[in-house]
Amino acid sequence: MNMEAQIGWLLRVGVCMSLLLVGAGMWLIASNGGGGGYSLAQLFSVSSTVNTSQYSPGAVFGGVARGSMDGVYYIMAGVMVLVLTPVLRVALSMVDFAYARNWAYAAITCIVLLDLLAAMFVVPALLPH
Amino acid sequence: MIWYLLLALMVATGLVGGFLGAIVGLGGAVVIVPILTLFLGVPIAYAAGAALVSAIATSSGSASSYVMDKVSNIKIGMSLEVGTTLGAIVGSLIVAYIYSRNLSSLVFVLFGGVLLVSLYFELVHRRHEHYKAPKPDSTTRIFQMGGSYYDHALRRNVRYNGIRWHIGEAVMFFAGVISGLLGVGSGVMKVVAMDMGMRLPTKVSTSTSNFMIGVTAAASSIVYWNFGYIQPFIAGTIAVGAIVGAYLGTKMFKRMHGRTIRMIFMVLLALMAVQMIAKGVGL
Repeated sequence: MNMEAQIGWLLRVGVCMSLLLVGAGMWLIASNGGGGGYSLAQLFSVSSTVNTSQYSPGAVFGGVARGSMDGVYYIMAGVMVLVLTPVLRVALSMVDFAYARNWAYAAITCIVLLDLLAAMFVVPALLPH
Repeated sequence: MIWYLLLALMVATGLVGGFLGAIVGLGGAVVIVPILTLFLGVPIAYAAGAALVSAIATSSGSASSYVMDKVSNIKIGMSLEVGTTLGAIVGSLIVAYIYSRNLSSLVFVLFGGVLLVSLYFELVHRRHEHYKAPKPDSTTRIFQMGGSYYDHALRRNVRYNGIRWHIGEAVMFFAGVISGLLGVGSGVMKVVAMDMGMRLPTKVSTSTSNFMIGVTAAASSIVYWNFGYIQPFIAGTIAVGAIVGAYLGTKMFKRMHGRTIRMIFMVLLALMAVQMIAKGVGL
């Protein structure tokens, strides 16, 4: 498969997976009458206090991995997959450029990836919590 | 509000945002934020977080077809993403500071202003004249910015060169800052940078910009995630609606060439921009 086809495929799989996860999460929350220790009304409110700051990506992954029946994990995971799809896409491009021995572009893509990784790991470490 | 009513409203907002965004050519985020904040009372940080996530969704959804079209240029896109991702991180940190000081009215004013300027560029800037590839400069060679694409309207291959990479990259940094600040994809700024700055054909700029928005918005949303600006129920439902809306909008846009309907939507968006500014200055 050429690079364009691979990237196109990755993007489509990412979007579909996240749609499925969000849908599954919604369904679980609706049938359980809530999730994460909150009621439906607390979760689905425009100024709900339930947001990403309480859920680390590791906790979300753990929740889904152990097959939790708490829908909040799945919705969070769906959003996470969506956000991570472009990151994976950049990583895949880097491998492809290296494979094509286009070192200049492998390096450029590596810088983009480092920017994204910095947003993930360096920026939160710098913030006062 | 009853939860399922809110859920339906969120999906509908995503649908309208994705649809209008695709027809006007601005992307869903700039439609979603005003609807959420002005009409549904969503705090602007959550609205921006949801818009960012939907920008990624629509970019990933459309990029897969754009990439297949071979119109977008992955190399040019990737080299410019160095600037947009850095800018996005800076922009998200700035807005976090703004929110922590309770200055969100500033974000309203800025949003309205940026939306008006983007509308102006969308209206005025559509170049349809004959494209002529500029003479390559040193950055064309360094960043391998030559290419060609098959133009279906002209029925021939169009060869092009990107020039003045540094100008493009500088504007891209600011496009990233705007993305982080307002939770949008800042596609118009990207297109203008590639069209006017780097002299790429509009078709290449537009599809490359679409392709880049996902990575820029991902950088912003990663920072947003840590600050808790992403409310998963709003973001998740909006994203689902936006994907479907953008798909329908793109399909319709291909068939419908009426300028009137596009103008009506643009006026509608301009009115929302003015309302954002009015809300920001406390009118």
